[in-house]
Amino acid sequence: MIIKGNVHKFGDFINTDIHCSSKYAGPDNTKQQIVDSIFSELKPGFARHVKPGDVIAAGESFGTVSTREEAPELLRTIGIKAVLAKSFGYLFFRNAINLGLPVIECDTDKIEDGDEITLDIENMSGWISRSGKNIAFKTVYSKHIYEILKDGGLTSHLKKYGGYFNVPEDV
Amino acid sequence: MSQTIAEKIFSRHSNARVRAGDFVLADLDFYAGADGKTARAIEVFQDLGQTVGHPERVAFFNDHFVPCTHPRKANEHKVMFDFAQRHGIRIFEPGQGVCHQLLIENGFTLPGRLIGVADSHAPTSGALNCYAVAVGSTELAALLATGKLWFKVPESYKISVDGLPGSFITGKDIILKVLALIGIEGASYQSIEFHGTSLDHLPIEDRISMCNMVVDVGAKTAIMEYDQVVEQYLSKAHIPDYEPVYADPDAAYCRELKIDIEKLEPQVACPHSIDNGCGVSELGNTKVDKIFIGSCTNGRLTDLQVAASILKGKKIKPGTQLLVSPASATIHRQAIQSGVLEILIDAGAQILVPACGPCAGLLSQQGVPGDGDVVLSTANRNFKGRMGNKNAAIYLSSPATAAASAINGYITDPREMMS
Repeated sequence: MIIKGNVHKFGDFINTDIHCSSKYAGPDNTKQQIVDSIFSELKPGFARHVKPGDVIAAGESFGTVSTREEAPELLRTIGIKAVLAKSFGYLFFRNAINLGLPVIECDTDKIEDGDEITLDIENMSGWISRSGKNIAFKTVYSKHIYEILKDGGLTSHLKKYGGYFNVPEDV
Repeated sequence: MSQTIAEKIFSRHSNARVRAGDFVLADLDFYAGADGKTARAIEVFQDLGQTVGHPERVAFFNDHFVPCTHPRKANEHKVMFDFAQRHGIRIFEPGQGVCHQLLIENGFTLPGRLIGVADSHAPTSGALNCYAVAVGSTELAALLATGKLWFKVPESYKISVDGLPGSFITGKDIILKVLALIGIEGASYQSIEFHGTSLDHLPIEDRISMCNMVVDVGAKTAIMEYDQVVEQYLSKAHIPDYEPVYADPDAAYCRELKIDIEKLEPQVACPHSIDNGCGVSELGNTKVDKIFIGSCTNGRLTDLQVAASILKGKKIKPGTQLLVSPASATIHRQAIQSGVLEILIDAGAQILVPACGPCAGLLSQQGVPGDGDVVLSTANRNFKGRMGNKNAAIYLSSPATAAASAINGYITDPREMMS
């Protein structure tokens, strides 16, 4: 799985329940209004500036205290294909993988807003086109996680195999 | 290789030797759903088109919306009941109690087990050396179909509590102090291991309150070691075999905290955050309008007993309300038989159905505060609007502090009630 796109850079402690879900929306908000409002307080018009293949890079605790499964789903809807961060709120991390959105812990300090980036999810590596610099991933997915992500999430994966993919035992 | 409890649990349940940071696919011993998440889990499960492999490993609970005030939630209760009947799954119907208490009472929570609970306060079971993790609706569906779930093995945070607890100092006071020291997100994605000599002086109920409250500092779970207190609690019921899990002496922890509670005074968490803690003596005169004793944090018989010992022969201050919810029907019955409930009723308390009730007033629509109300609650969350009104302020405390405050109508140190 190769992801190539532009980086949208965020700071620390981004609460996706607040910025990227309908949790605090009014009862009359339409789906489109919710999509349009994604991260709009932090980056006005964010959803319109995202192209398929783009990536979010953030600081500490992306998805802090955020519980909604909706957030990774909304991000995928607008074209975000992965989130890199120094650390994640653990429920956001789990929801992201279950919804087929790769989440990767790494040092994002040298990644800038607008950078063109390539990620090789299978080999857990990435690089920034501008500088040719490699990004060292702290997260190393197991085969199961990779297959779940490749299949677009937990339910798609389970439906495809009638259970979990059978990882061949190492001899 | 020395291992933490988390590393041992995930190793045991995935037949591999794992360390913090590894991803595993683990077999769970038991999985449970409360009524906040189970109807959605059933929907996802039906879409998977598979069978429930091990119905004996499952239980459903009705606690968040009991008695029901939403037609939609009443419909969800029916969906849960029908599904349980069709698949041979145990279901605890409305009125039986709060899921985490029932997991413990019914022997589903056992030392050395890995269990998944579709409710955020899963770590409650850690007091019995049981590794309990919160799962979402999609994950509960995956468990119903396969009995397995993926995990990233968390790092472990060792918290040692030492010192003899003073009078009226309970597990709740200790955990409120710990949360104030750690801060929100202070244990993000970490597995907390509680150690220390103070635990030897705490009954199982206090230990349960401590594990219950780690959720809102971002922790994956909390767990304590197995000892005679746990053994005695379990030996009272007919319990299947279990295999406790112990941390290796030289296991690697990402962080360690040592606290001495010898001089600890009763604690409160002030509005609107559970880490906004202080001693009761630092509060000054804080009038309270509503008081709640109950929830998976502090709805046990010992909690009701200490409240009754303070309220015996006394009346609640006019203008202040006290709501009491036993955490299970068993506790409710024991409170009746022991005379505790009569004392609370005579004092003027409102007795509620065993359920989450006012703790999640935002959802349950029970015990909702008025505008400008100050609430003192023995539950576990005090963010704005938690109990159903953003214009109210919530303090959290132990049941002893709550009972003493009910008499005076302002937040009171329970030690002042000692004659």
